[in-house]
Amino acid sequence: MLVGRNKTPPQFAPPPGLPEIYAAHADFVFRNLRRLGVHESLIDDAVQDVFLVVHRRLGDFEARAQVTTWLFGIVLRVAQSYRRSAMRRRARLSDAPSAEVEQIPTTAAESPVETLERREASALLHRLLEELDDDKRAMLVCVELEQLTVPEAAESLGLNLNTAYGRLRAARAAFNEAVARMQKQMQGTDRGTS
Amino acid sequence: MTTELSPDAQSILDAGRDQDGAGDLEKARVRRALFAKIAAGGAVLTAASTAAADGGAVASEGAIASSAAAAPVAATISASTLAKVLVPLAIIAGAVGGAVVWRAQRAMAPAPIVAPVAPIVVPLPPPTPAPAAAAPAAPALAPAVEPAPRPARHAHVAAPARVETAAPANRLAEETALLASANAELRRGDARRALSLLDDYDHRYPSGVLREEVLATRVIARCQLGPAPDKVARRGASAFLARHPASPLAPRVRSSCGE
Repeated sequence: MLVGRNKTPPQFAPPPGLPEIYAAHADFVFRNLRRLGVHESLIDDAVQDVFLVVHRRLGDFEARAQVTTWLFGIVLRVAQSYRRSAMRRRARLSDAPSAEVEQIPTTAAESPVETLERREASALLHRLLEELDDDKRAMLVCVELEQLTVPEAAESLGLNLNTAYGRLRAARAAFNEAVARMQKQMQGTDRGTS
Repeated sequence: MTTELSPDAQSILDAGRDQDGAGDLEKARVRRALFAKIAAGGAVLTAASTAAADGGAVASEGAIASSAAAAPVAATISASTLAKVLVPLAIIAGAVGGAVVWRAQRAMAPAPIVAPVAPIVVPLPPPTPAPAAAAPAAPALAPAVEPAPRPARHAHVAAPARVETAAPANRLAEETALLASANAELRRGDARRALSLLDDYDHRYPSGVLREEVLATRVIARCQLGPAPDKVARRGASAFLARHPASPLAPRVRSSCGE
């Protein structure tokens, strides 16, 4: 028995599953790190960190949970640590440009105009999301953008169900207000320029 | 109490829902770096996500400059295109476009729109080294705080049996295994054995996804082949660094080759 085991060729292999999880969910991780405010210059590092955590915890992952539910919790923690460090840096350095200036990758088969439109829709959304606090932003991204159910979102974010419903209401209200503020600001600008 | 999204809010979310994913090149780039990190036994969170924060911050001061060069996205955003994206929201859109443009102009010089994704590899393999004296122990490898999936001790590797026909996921695992074995040999100080494993890799996976890492490892091994990097080894290192200045393995190449 033991001899047989020793004979298996010593091999390094990534745990089964990591390449598959990467292939299936890399997009999910990239887009949610961006939405949660990770600076574009740190995106590659943040994505790697998420998958290193996944790699380390693959054993803990319980198959009953949806992968995305589990993954979102990891994405959220990594995003928060990157945001905190970015804030510390901004406090130290002068007024550094924030996340609006971003590289959003060009996908194949897309015209420059389409690329531009895509970027602008995304810049608009990010600007609004930035106005929410961390808790509300996470909830809104989970439910309204990733379309997890509220119980799933509660699990991702480690909340009980009532708190989750309450937070979703608050997040929607805050987002509505951010949109309204922007509209108002725009009207002000219009009067100013015309 | 407001529990529903306003129509405007809803359409902004709808328009943004499918955005922000990653392009194929971007995903491939990060995947290569990720698996190389794991293969190198350095599966340490860039210093454990929290601390990664600080390491990342340092790195990003340089990186901001490069992202400015590479990704001048917002510099040329026009209110009119924005209006097209969100037809019912043209008014809000203008405001945002304006704000973004303003910040972007403050932050950087205007530049062309198309954001080039870092060019992808396809390096020439450097000259195969001539046999040389036994190499000194490899000094430059980061200690593995958390030796990812436990690499078998002294992987005196039987190279993976299956070849390029394997399913993509298996193939990536096999490529990673081969690279990990080469790294293990390097750590033990057997640069020559590492080089022969890398030759094996080139032979099996002429268009492998880990080519850049394999190339870097080859350069490092070449530098460790003798008591000190010789001229050919140094030339290989400079060529690699010129071609892949942003490679996650560039620091290792520099420290191993005295660049």
